[in-house]
Parts: sequence; C-alpha cells; structure tokens
Amino acid sequence: MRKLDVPSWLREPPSWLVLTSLLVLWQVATWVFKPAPFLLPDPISVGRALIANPTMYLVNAYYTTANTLIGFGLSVIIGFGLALGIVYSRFLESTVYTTLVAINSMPKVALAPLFVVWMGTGNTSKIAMAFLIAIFAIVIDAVLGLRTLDTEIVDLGRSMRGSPLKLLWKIRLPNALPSLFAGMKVAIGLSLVGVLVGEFVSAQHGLGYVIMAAQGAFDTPRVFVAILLLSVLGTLLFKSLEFIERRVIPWHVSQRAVSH
Amino acid sequence: MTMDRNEVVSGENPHIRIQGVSKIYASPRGDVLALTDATLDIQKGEFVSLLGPSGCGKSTLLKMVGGLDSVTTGAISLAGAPIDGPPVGLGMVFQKDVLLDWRTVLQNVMLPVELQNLDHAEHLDRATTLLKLFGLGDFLDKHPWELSGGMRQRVAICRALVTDPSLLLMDEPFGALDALTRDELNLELQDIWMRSGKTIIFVTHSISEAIMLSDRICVMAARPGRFIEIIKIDFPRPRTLAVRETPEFADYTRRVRQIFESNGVFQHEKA
Repeated sequence: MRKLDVPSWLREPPSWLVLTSLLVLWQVATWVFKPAPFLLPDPISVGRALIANPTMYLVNAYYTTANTLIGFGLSVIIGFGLALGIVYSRFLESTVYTTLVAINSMPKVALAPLFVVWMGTGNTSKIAMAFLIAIFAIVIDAVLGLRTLDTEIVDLGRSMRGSPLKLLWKIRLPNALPSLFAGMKVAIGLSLVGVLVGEFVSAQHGLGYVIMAAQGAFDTPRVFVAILLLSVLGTLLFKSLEFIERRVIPWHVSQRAVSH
Repeated sequence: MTMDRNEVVSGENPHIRIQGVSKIYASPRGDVLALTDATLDIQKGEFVSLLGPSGCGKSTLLKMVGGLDSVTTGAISLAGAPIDGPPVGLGMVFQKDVLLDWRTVLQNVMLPVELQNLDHAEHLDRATTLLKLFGLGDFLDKHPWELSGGMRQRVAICRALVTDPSLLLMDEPFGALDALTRDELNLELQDIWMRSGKTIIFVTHSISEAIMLSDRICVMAARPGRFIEIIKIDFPRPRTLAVRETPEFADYTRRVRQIFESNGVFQHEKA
C-alpha cells in the first residue's frame, strides 16, 4: 500500500493558516447562526471596532504592557535576590522561604481590592499585583536552579580553591539560568494576569479597563478587540523571553535543537 | 628516571602521611563506619592506587586527602602540614567528568585558572598545549556535549593538570569509559605522570588497571572500609599494554584476587 500523497502544509499546517481558518470559521458561523452581536460579534465587526479608534487601544495597551513589564522586572530582581539569600542562609530559608510558600497557597487575586485601597487606583496597585503574583514562580524556580548542583561539581569547585563569590559567579549562577528562565516564562504570563486583575478592580486606563468599560456599555466587539490584543501581547511577551533565552543559554539541552 | 624515583620512594620523609584515619558518617539509621584505621605513607612522585569494592572507603579517603571531607579520628598531613581544606597544588578528576556545559573545551580547562586568579595568558598556552597533547587540538572551541565520553574525560584531566598541581587525586576517572578508551587513557596518564613527577592517588575497582599503573596498590575491603594489604608493583617503566600478558602480571592479579576472596569480597564465588 502506497502512502497517500498529502502535501506538507496539510500534514503540518503552519500556525498562520490555522488561525486564519479559525477566523473564517468564526465569520461563517456568525453568518449561519446569526447570534445577537452583543453575545458574539463576527470578526469583521471586531476588526471595524479596532480600526474605528486604534490610538485608544494603543494607549491602553501601552499602560498594560508597561505595568506588566515593571511588575515582572521587579519580581525577577527581587525574587532572584531573595532566592540567593534563601540558598545561602539557613535563617532566610526557614523564615522568608517558609512565609513565601505559605502566602503562595492563597489566591493572590483576592488581594487586588486591598491593593487599590492601599495604593490607589493608579499604576502602583497594578504593578504591585503583577509583582506579587509573579514573584513566587521566580523565587521557587531560582532556588531550585541554584540548589541543583552535582555534588561532584561542588567538590570540584572546592578542590580548585575558588572563593565563594567566584564559585557563585562562575558555576552556580550559570547552572541556575535554565531554571530561572523556566520561572520567568511562567512569571511573565502571571504578571499580565496580575495587571489585568488590578485594572478590573479599579483603573483609569489599560486593556482591563477597556474590557470593563465596554462590558458596561454592552459593546461586545470592543471587549473582543481588547481580548485579542491581550492574547497578542501575552504571546509577544513570551516569545521575547524565548528569544532572550536562546541567546543567553544556547548551551542548554532545551536550546540545542534550535541552535544547531 | 626510574632509579631516581626508587630513591625517592625509599626516602625518609613521606610527602603524604595518613595515620590511623577513620571516618564515621552519621545517617538516619545510625552511625556508619566508612573507613577504619587507615595508615599509609606516600612518597613524593609516587603513584598509589586504592583498590577495592564499593563501600570500602576508597573515595572517602581520597576526599579526606583532598581536604574535601574531615577525618573522624587520626591525621593526614601533606608535606608536613596537616590537611585543612583543599591544599594548594591539588588537581582532582572524578568518575563523572563534570564539565560545565556553558563553557567551551578550552574555557573548561581554564576554569581552575580563573577560580584561583592565576596568570591568564601563561596558562592559556599551557591549556592549549595540554589539549593538543591529549589529541583535542581541533576541539578547543567545541562544547562538552559535542564530545565523546573518552574525549570529555580527557578534557577533565587537562583541567586538573592546567595549574601543574603536584598532587593529583583521581576517583575512578576511567570507570565510565569503554575498555579500549580506558587502555588508551591509562597509557596517556602514565606518560604525563612519568614526565611531570606528580604524586598521584588513584581510586579504582579494576585490578588490572591498578597493577598496570601503580607503584603500590593499597588493597581494601568493605564493611567496615579498611586496608588489607599494600602491594608493591615491580614492573619497569614505561609499561605497555603487553605487560598485562606477562606471568608476573598474572601473579599480581592472582594475589589481589586471593586477598579479596579471603576477605569476603567475592561472596558469589564462595557460595
């Protein structure tokens, strides 16, 4: 029996083709079933809503992006600092780490209204949410990465009489990078969720604010535009991290297939 | 050269002195006696093997000589000074090559130079020369994962040699390699040792490898880890692989086997 001659684009369809097909399917479904536009608008009216006021979306997307990146950046810097402290100090391990793990088990979005009370309806409360929701992934993965070191590598480093700082810089830190990147790739998505939750609770701008305002006016196409922009934003943030990762740790097992 | 070394071997002041050393590890199921009452003098430039089954304390002893582990009782001294942490002029090779994946071959070999703040340019030459000597001249800029197991272990040896240490501690360095690569590396190690006059302590569980390489073999047994007998190997240097086919080599092998048998190492054969 000869294998069927299926063209490669059909056997393994590229992602743009899959997404375009979904859009077309969505458009055809709305033509056929005619749902009320405030329940499910068709892609063409969503597109029109975007074209009607692109600057408004751009400005709001900017606020959401900036707050996400600031919150994420802070969580990486502070989270990694904490992880270093936890790995090198028994005291911090039994105090900070235990506290963090305990706090992590509660749903952090429940804190969003409190943050608005504490920090107001401006950017600070959004950044704080992004930071809080992302830092656990950073700390836990960074601690894991810093701790996961073969005993032979530890012995080797000691036998070479390296100072603790040099051993950290030349061995432990690079060794922790793959794990840190894994944590960051989780954290970047969480940061976006944190900002969005903050914007839902109370805000003057941001894509979350756009969604809430449009929902109040039953302007569902605008809600859809914001949701689509958010998924594009989420993908872009994640892909940028992957791009950086490929350049920082091309030596890691997970990257070799790409770099060769 | 052979005569010189014999003279050193019979000298009065041992380079490394291991006196009544025991090691007890605390474990959840009580204390474990890893090594008991080990005494051995090693001369400068000597090649000594610690030979025994797993659990005989040979790696533990090696770590204690390298200052990576403390003795429970007894004392170890190097050139007259008690061991307190890894000494200056120490090179170590482990069964795992523990090369760092993010460094190239050359950068891996340069690691001890960077960690000890030694002169970079001078040691870069030495690293390159060493790697060429071990047949890795074309692989300086490759990463560890691009090399075979034998090549990786050669890089690990170069890394241990780059600072020209006077003491080389090797913990089953060829244990994970195939037999042919192992033979090859045994010869290369002998070459290096004969040219440099380093003191080498070599941990192995291969009887023939120990006989092939050593001036003296320290035969050990487990539960508790202990020395049973120290055997002097009297083959001229440099030894070739053919030495293994001589009747004398078979005599040494038989002797070690009999020691192991009478100390319950080969349980299966006795049963």
